[in-house]
Amino acid sequence: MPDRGFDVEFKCIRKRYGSIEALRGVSISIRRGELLTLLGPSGCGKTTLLRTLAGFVRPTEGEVWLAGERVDEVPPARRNVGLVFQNYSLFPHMTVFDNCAFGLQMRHLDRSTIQKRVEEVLNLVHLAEFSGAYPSQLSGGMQQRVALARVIAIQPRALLLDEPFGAIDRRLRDEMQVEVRKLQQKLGITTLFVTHDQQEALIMSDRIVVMNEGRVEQEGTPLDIYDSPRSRFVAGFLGMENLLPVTVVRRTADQAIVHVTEGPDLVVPLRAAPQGDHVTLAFRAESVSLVRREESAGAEAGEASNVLSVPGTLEFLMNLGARVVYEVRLPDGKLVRGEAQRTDRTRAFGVGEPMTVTLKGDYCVLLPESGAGT
Amino acid sequence: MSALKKPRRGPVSDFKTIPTRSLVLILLPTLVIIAFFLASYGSFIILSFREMVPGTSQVTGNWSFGSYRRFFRDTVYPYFMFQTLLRAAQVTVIGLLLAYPLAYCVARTASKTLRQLMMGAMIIPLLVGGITIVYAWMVLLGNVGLINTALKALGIVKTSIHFLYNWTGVIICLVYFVIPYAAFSLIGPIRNVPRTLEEAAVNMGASRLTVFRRIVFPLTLPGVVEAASLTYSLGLSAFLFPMMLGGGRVKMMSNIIYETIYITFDFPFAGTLAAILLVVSIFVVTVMTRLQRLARRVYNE
Amino acid sequence: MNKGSAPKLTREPGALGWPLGLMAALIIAFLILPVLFVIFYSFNESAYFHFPPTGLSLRWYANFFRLHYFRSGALISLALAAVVTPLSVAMGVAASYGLIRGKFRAAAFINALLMSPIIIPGVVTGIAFMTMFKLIGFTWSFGNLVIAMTLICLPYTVRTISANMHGLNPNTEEAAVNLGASRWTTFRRVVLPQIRPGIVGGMIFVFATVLDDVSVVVFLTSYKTSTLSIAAMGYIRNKDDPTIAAMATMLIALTIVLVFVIQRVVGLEKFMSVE
Repeated sequence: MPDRGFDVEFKCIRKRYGSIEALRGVSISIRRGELLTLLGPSGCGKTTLLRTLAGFVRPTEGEVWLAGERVDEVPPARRNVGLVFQNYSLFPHMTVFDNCAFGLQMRHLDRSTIQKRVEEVLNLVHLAEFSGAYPSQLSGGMQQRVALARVIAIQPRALLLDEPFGAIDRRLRDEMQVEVRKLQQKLGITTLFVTHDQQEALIMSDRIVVMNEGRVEQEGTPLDIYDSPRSRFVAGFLGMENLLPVTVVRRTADQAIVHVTEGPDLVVPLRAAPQGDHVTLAFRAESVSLVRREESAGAEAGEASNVLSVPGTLEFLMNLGARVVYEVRLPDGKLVRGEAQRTDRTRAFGVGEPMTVTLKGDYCVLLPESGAGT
Repeated sequence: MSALKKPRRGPVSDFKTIPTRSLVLILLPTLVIIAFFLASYGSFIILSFREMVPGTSQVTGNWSFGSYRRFFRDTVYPYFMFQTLLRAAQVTVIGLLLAYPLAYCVARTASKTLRQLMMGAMIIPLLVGGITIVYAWMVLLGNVGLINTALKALGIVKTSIHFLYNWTGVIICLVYFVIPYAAFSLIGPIRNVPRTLEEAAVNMGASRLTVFRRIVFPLTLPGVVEAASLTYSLGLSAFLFPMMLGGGRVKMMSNIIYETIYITFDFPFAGTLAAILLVVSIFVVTVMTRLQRLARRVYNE
Repeated sequence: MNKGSAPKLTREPGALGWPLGLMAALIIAFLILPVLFVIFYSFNESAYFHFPPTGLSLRWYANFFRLHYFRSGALISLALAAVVTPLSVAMGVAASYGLIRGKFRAAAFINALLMSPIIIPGVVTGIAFMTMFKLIGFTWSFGNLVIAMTLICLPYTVRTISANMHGLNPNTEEAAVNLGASRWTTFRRVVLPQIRPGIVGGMIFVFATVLDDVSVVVFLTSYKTSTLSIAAMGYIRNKDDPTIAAMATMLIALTIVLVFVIQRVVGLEKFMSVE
């Protein structure tokens, strides 16, 4: 039974190519008007899943539902979804206008309707003056906008974007991400977006599904995924550089006390609850702070708290313009990676000097010892 | 979740640009004509194992190796085959020696117009055809032709050099014919050698000859082998040029086959000769392809 | 621009060393000389070569058109070209599309078979067809020529069209399907327009080959059905007056026109696959 409110549903999709399993039982639902991103490394199956919705891939098992109808058997030409490729794939021998008119011609609309609709979509992407130009005369960013206009013209039930900004250079990419997101929200089209760039996913999405090796690793809002990864893979993929093996000393209903290194223990909120005593403490480089040993207050002995300060030696320091990145070696050998704004204070740091590293438990996450796929 | 899984209804395959049924239809004419041409080769090979009724142009129903035995027994035939192979090699060597500098210039010239002019000059002999080339050289090389007239006028020779009705004219004409093919074939491989490599060598003090000998040529070796293969095939196939410019005295394999049909009417023997030439041609190409692969492995990466 | 001792290899051929440029120029001259000579000789007044020429005349052109075997030969050759070209091109398009987009394992093998006539001496192919046609009793000379020529020309069309097709972005075909096009519409409106240069290139090769071939057709022509090249060959053996020069000049003019067409539609470099 189709769930109301879900425009797109993947139910237990499996895809096998010979002995290789590209998708291993993936189930995802997308609400109407939502932009859902499939995020993961190459080979994780995200593009395969996208192409399953487009109709170019037929799942070995499972069902695909679109706007309340099952579309497994519907050939790709009849699915009425709009696919945008990484390399734009505009028809090089047709003008911008003809490119955008193509889908409408396939639907046998009359000339004046086509004319009006194409003008509308070209205006939406601000390329009306270029309707007579050929793709080779346009820049990459402009070509991608035409590709977008081309699919919007057919008023698709869903928009499928396959790493659309991969071929566009960095500066333009940021602009386009915002522009496309605004356009999508304005039109309210249900959208499936595929990328391997976590930054892009965080900017564009209503919800993110992290995939790895044909499976769903985690699903949630961008902030959810960013703050509370539930496996080492997701943490690592989303840029949590610090993954320290620690032991759980005690658990309560909503907190855990973990032994990190010599010294007091750290209190960490328990969001998901990895089992066992040996877990991974994950935190971002940004949530670490560093001072020189002589400037710090004396080491806090005694009870566990949600702030942990430990001594360490500065092993690596690099200036990146407005920020610095560094690595500190703890006495028991663990390595902590940190990042901070570049200030007068950080300018005084020297490699090899004794430092004090401070960590706030509220910004940490506990993960299983070795997560799936790491 | 498992309640939603349906039993598979047969092999599941992705969307194909050309579904199998259409593919067979699309390729059918091609496959038919390939079958026809393979059958044609089969037919003359079969013919080569037959015998002629003596004194007529009828073919008997007997099978025999007679034609093949005759080929090897009458030493004149292996001689002609050998001569064809040798002369084709001669044409290949001279042709490549002349085509390489030409190809190098076209590949390295910065000016687009100059490049196009050069290529235009190369493509015209290629497209204009054998008859035109043969005729032009016949008049040029004749005893009272342009070349001899010019040479006599300049006092270089006193009597005409006999270019025609011997191998000289034939080789000149064949070389002329193959240069465009070889040159076009070489332009790509030469282009693929990054100019920066040459510049680096010059920067380290190499003379231009050394740059060519140790950098450019080795890297283009696979391309040279391919050009040689093409040129050699063209040489082996030579028919019109030896016939016209050789005046009956120069015979390459193709001419022998022609005579066997139109003068001797010995069809089975012609079939034999053609079969042997076919095998030799295929063998040569196979050897060349192997050499090319070898050259690629030795000199690249 | 950095001044100083940057090596001058990147500029004109002259800078590569004048010996190389000179060699290339000489070879080009060698290639062009016979062509220029034939054009000049076609207007020669006398039937023999004299230097300086005794006068200029168009009589050899008149002679060419006067002789019935040249007229009939030209007609047959042109008719042959007119039939073989579309056949070869159509089959070339189908073969290329099937082999490249069909994605099946025997494709490389079939491609090799298709290309093989190029490496096989023309005489062998001529004999093969002659024997086969006699075997199956197909004695219509013009038909023999059509089939044989189509086969000889197929490698050329497949080569130029395939080269073109390999350069196509396959995603554009998917995009067309995604927008609602049937497979046939996709082929017609997305693939075909993009392979036009390959088709034109193939046509030119076919045209040149049909007009020029001797070693295959010599086994397939009959007394009544003879191509221009065979008629010319017969004429040269008996007489060597400039009539053939006139014919050749007309062919050269045709070739030059074709070269301009190539340059406009395809580009000389892509045509000879040197990019």
